[in-house]
Amino acid sequence: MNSKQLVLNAIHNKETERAPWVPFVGCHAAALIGVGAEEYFKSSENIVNGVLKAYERYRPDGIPFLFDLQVEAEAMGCGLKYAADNPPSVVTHPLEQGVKLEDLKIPGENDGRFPIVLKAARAICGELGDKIAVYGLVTGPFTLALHLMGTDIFYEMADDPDRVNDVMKFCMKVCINTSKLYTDAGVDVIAVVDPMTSQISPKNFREFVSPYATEVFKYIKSLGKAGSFFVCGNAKNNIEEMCKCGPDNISIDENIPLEYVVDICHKYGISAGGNIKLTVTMLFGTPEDNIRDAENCMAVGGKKGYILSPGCDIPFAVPPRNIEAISGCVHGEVADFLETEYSNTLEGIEYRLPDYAAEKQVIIDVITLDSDSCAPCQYVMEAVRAAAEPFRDKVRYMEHKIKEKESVACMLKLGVKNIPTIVVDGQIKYVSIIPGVEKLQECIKEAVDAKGKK
Amino acid sequence: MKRKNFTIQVISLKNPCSACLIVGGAVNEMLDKLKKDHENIKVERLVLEDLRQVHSVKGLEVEKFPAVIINGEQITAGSIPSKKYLLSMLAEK
Amino acid sequence: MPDTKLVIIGGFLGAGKTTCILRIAKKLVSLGKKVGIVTNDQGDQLVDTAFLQSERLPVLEVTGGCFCCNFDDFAAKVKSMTAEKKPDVILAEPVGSCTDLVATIFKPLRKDGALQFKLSPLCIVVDPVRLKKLMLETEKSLFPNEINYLFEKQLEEADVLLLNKTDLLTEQEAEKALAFLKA
Repeated sequence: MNSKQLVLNAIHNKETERAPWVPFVGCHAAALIGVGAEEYFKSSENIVNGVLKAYERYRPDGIPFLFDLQVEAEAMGCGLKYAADNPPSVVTHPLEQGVKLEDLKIPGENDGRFPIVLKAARAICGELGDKIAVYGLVTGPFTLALHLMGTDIFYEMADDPDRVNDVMKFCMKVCINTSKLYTDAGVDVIAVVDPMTSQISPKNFREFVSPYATEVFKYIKSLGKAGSFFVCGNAKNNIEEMCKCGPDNISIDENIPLEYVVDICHKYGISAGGNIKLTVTMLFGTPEDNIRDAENCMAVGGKKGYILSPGCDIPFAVPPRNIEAISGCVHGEVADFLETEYSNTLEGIEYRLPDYAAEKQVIIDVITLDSDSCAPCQYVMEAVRAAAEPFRDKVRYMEHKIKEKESVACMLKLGVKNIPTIVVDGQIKYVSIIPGVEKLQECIKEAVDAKGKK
Repeated sequence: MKRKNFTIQVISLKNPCSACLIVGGAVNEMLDKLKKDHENIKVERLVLEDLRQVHSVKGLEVEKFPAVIINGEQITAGSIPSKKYLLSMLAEK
Repeated sequence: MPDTKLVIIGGFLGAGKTTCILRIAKKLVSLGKKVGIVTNDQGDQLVDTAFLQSERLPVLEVTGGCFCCNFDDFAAKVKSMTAEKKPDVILAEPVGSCTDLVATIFKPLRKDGALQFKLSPLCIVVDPVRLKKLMLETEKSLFPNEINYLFEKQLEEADVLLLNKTDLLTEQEAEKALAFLKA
């Protein structure tokens, strides 16, 4: 099944052969092509080159064509401050500066940076659209309202709710229009990204966000596109309200346990996405940390209605090797990744495989990341322990944790590609599957009997 | 009677995500506005390059960012402070 | 029945978790117990390295996470210490900002079928200065404070509350604080 279909199936809460991988590459793409963030966001050529580079290096199943929550705001007169290695920030708010709401215009394809952004979107969809799912990220209505009003929005929700509702209604129309622009450019998924909703209570969410977000998702559905609702920050209390707005998918960051979101989303027949840790794992972690985080997320998310992604926009300075490690894990190619990653340091590290045929015992080699911290690895070790137990001294099992270089050497020698993998007397038997204890015992018995005959 | 002086620190991480940037921007904006109308405020911005630096920030109790610390006491952890709260605090003598 | 007891000691940054853990470790060692420590504290100034070295206590560190409890690394360290060192007690310190310890640490650990240790009641170290602020807010209740809210959640979750730094309190204040915590 091709990547695009994998994403669309997952987003529509169907079973998939594996979790699709959608890295949210925004300003990080600028780092990939060696330009600063400002140069990136202001040039369609840079945006296209950056996304294509990310596609080449990270082999995603889906990717946003841009991650910039300031495009609509800028086109409506918000002043932006650009940075060297971050997306721009909104620094002036027209409604705060005396501009009247009725004088604000819904931005069209020729306003602000829309010409640049749409040109990039069309090129990216043209180049990648048949292979992977392209996401168009629309700034959610509440975050957009904050851009237009400034922080007074939080006080006016109590002091002047009618005004806030008027602004939200307008922002809803902006979201709808931007969704149309991106759909016409060829995207497959419209993601409504509304991080500021994590700052408000469920009561305020119901009053000031739900009516408008619901209309936006209705509209996205009417275009025949999938709609995803992104939130960052601790929005745990608002997840249920978000589900009620009718998206196909909800995507969260590490502030909310993935398990919690998956449970609630599936209750509503909605898919979930997330939530590899951006700072601890992607920015400051090692490639193994990233493999582990991805494995754990996939163990929680499962293979129905789940999309593996980072918690939010990948920071500029994340080492590409960390993201490549996740890609390797997703595609079942951890060994290839580790071989390249450690090509220098593996020199001189020898792992001598036992002479399996000559050994009296059946030897089970279990290649894992680390059963102490990687859930699938732990389940596999438990299964091996339980299955081997009745065979007593006829069987010996060993865990090879690939965070140790010798284990990587062992993995490569055995020809193991992915983790966790169970190898019985040098033969690869189970790859990324947690076999039932009975089945595993049958397999071990076969090996024990074969040894007995010699 | 003289009004009390306040030192407001905004602690953030060097590489924030998009959401943290927006929250951080909103926090900074609010404080800049308050500073214009209140002479008794001093605003300091501290960017942490390494998570280990959390221990060196006096008054930081909850490691979520952006964090706002006023006169050595943390009042927010990753969220935008209440303007009413800030105004009532600033009116203290 | 697993022999190792896992004692999780939470609390805000600066509440005194690490110092508490070291004191408890010293006491347990004096009683002939084998102790392991899993800390989140990277501050050299608080780690009593001389004591740790002299007692040869195994200490593992979890990289601080600023957005959530780094459960994966935490669980890995606890399990590997149990398997390798077989201590009687592991004193463990998760990230200070975590206010959902039951959901993010206790529940996943309990779900783990291969538990090699026994979970002790959740302990939270309480800084009396922070407690005073919560008590004041409860009395005045004009403006809800986010840090107090998070603190209250931690207190609610705890099985055992350890009121620390009581030298900062008068007798009367200490009585009031204990009454507040008990309520």
